[in-house]
Amino acid sequence: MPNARTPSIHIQRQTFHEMDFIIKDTDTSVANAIRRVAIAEVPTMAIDLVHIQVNTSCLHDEFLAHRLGLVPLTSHRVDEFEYTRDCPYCSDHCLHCSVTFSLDVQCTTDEETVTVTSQDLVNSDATESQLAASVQPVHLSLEKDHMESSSSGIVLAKLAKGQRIQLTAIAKKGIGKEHAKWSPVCTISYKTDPTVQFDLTKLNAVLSERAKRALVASSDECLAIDPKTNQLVYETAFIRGRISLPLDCVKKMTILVSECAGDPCAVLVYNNDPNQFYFSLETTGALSSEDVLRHTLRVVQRKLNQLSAHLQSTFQENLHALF
Amino acid sequence: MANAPDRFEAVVLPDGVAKLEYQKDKVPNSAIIKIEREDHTIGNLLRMQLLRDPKVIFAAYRAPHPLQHHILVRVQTKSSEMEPYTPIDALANAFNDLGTEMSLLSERLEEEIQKQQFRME
Repeated sequence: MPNARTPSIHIQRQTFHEMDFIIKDTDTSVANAIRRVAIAEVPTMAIDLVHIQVNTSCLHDEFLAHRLGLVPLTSHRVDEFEYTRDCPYCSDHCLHCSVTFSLDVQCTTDEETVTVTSQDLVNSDATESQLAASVQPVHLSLEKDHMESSSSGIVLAKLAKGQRIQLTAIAKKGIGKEHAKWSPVCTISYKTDPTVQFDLTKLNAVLSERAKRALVASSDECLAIDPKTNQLVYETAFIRGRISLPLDCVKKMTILVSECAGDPCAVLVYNNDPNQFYFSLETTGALSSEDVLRHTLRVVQRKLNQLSAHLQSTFQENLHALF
Repeated sequence: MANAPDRFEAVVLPDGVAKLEYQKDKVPNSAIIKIEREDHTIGNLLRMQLLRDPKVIFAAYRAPHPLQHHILVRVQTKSSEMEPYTPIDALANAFNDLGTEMSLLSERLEEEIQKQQFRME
């Protein structure tokens, strides 16, 4: 392993749905691979095939099928499912590669419209297999909704008197690259430290009281003065957003530092080659945040191992003939 | 709809298609490798890792077209009679290095999750 790095990972905040973490000592390409794979290549379950028996609602069949597809399904046991296209047990679909849901809702009253939600999806395979029973619609997207029981699921359609929806929906395993409904994440993003920053301890030592105030005025709300210590500090918004310091602010700093007989270059901190990545990840509820990350790393690793194996088998015999 | 490509086209390697294909380059110790069913995720990862190798003179990749699901990686290496180092060797090293990096990250993630649970208790 001549050129391997030793990155580290640190979790800052973790709930079922969300996670903030830092990856250190690696390259943008690795951070970006993690982001891309989490979005597009981590398998989950989602409704993929819908047989509509009755639909007298105001939404047409395709509309309804699309909405059903976007309902997240709990996928913590997704690894035990086969992809339908390479399932060895069946030619169409079976318990090893799919889960069937049924839905039958009708409105009979004049007073109120009936709301069809994800709660009305009934897992019809639940009695036959434990594995199939593990796949259930995610009704609530946020933890605070779990506390307030007022929220009652994801709305699929609304029915007036006499309208009815009856259908069976088949959920399959897939990845986000094929269709976004299989993506386990709502958002995953990373940011790095700002390219240009000030060394605040040095800056505080050099600048006079008046100069500090002048710098804050032209910092576009990136800097502030701590009222207790009278020292310059970064604004929370700047630390969170990690945007670059405005050019005007840097220019002002050079003028002020020169006036106070300091060296402006010593105060500036450049970050041309970022090696810390601040990630934030939010899941759809199909997988827990830690599972998403776990699966992501596994998928990247599997890809690399496969490519390595292919490289050996393809080029081993005829390597010397090639060059 | 009739002429739309299948949705899984971008994901599944068709029968009889090689995952890796070698294309000869005019320059000595240089190769263009076509990787089927991979995209910028692997392309950029591989390129950056190859560039960290001091024996690699040139490394770049391109994704020729959004409807063609492959990438082309061009690698050129420093190689001598005494120390032969082919682009294939460079690729093998890059894959191994990235593989160990990812498995290290996975291990450290598990440790970190354990710690996190400990903190919550």
